[in-house]
Amino acid sequence: MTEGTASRRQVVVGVVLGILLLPLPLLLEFAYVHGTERTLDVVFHAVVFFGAIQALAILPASLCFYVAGKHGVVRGLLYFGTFAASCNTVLWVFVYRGMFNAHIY
Amino acid sequence: MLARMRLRTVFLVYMLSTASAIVAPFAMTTIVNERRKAIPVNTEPPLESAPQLQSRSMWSGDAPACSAPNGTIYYANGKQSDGSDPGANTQPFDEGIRIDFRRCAVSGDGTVYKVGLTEEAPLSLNAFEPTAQLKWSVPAQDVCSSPALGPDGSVYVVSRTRAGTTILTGYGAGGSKLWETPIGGTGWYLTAPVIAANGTIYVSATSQLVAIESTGREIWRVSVQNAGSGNASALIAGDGGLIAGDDGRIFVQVLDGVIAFNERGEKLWEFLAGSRDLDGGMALGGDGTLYLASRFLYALDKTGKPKWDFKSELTYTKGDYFGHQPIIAKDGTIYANTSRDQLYAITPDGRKKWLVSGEPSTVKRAWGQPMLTRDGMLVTNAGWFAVATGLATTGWPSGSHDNSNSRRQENP
Repeated sequence: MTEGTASRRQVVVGVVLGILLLPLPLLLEFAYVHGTERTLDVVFHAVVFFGAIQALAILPASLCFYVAGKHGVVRGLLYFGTFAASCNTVLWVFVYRGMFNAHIY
Repeated sequence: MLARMRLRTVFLVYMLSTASAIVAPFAMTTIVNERRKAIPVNTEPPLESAPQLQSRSMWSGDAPACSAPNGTIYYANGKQSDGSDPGANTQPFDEGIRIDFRRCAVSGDGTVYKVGLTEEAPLSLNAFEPTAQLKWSVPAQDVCSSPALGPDGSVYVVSRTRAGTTILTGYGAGGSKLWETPIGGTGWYLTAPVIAANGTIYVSATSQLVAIESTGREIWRVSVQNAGSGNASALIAGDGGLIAGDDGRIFVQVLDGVIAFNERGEKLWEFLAGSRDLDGGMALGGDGTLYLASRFLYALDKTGKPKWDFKSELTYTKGDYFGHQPIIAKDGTIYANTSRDQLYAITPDGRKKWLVSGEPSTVKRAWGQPMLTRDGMLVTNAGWFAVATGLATTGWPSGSHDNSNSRRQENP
């Protein structure tokens, strides 16, 4: 079992890595939409994008760094993932409030 | 502190936030949809029972495309039938030619003008005798609208090449090219021209409405703008997206409503429906009421004020919307089909006359764009109904209004 290491510097590296990985699922989603000519659907895109961020970027990267014992980097990645997911939830709450305040058509 | 927090705790918080991010849109959408279901729709019982469907082995390719003055109906799949029985007497227009009538018009002498593919040539504009003998044929550009016929027999087509911009071309009744006027715009879905009673041709392309003389000279050009946002509006590109009244008014359907102009290109009013659906269409009633299919079916008076709106029963449960051009019979009854194949007959005051549902059914019926015939039949893709007598002259009996595809209301 690899002995884990964690430092403030590693956490920062993890956060930066999470930000850098962000475009990957976005590109994959664009490729999917372009390839399938699927129409734009807000719910679909939100679920796919934020699901893809976690499943294709944050989690695999975290696993790799966990195995390597870089627990600080894993923490950083998970902090960023938590931040992104929380932002998404807050965004949806605002969208939802907007739907309620506006005339539901 | 961040570096000292237990990794298991960090992971747990991360998983919870991720789960909430994925569940949130579903939950929000479900709540909003449940609230939408509480909005009243037109579920009232119909005023009368629906007429019997006279069915035949029809499919979506059997859409009625245009009709001739003698009552002959031409179908998209290249067949024709006399108006007495649209079901039983369909036969190929010509056994020797593979043809379709998706974009066609018929002149007073029965000449059939169509844009389409033939076996020998790529896309072309063809004129046929009623006996299927080819009168003339000219090559057409890559993308073409339906043809429209002028009062003097001229043929007008909006078209464009793959790389070029949209143009309007005028042909003589004998097939000679008279002129070509650039319209602008590069859209792939072209709206057919509207022919006014004085011969003026109206075309729309990429947020612009253009008036052109029958000589090809441009008279005026206006930008179609949404007053609410001030932005150029996306135009509905279907053939029902541009129509004209007998009083010179021109109606342009935009993504979120309709804008009315006078014959000088001055904006009269606009109506914002709030919809963002790309399908729909318009028709004018004999009293000048504009019927607009823009998710719901709206009746607008001459000043653009809504008289009533009609919502499909499946609007909020199945996302149903009026996705075809409404048509109007001589007695003012409006026939309109929805995206879920709910074929409604609606009285001029907005009450449900009858409803024939294409689903749920043991055999799904896809009505498509309906058409009223000279002999009082409502012809759809999936069969026909006997509904009235006589082709509507004060209504809007087909998507293109008349045989010549003028898309213009006539004086009663």
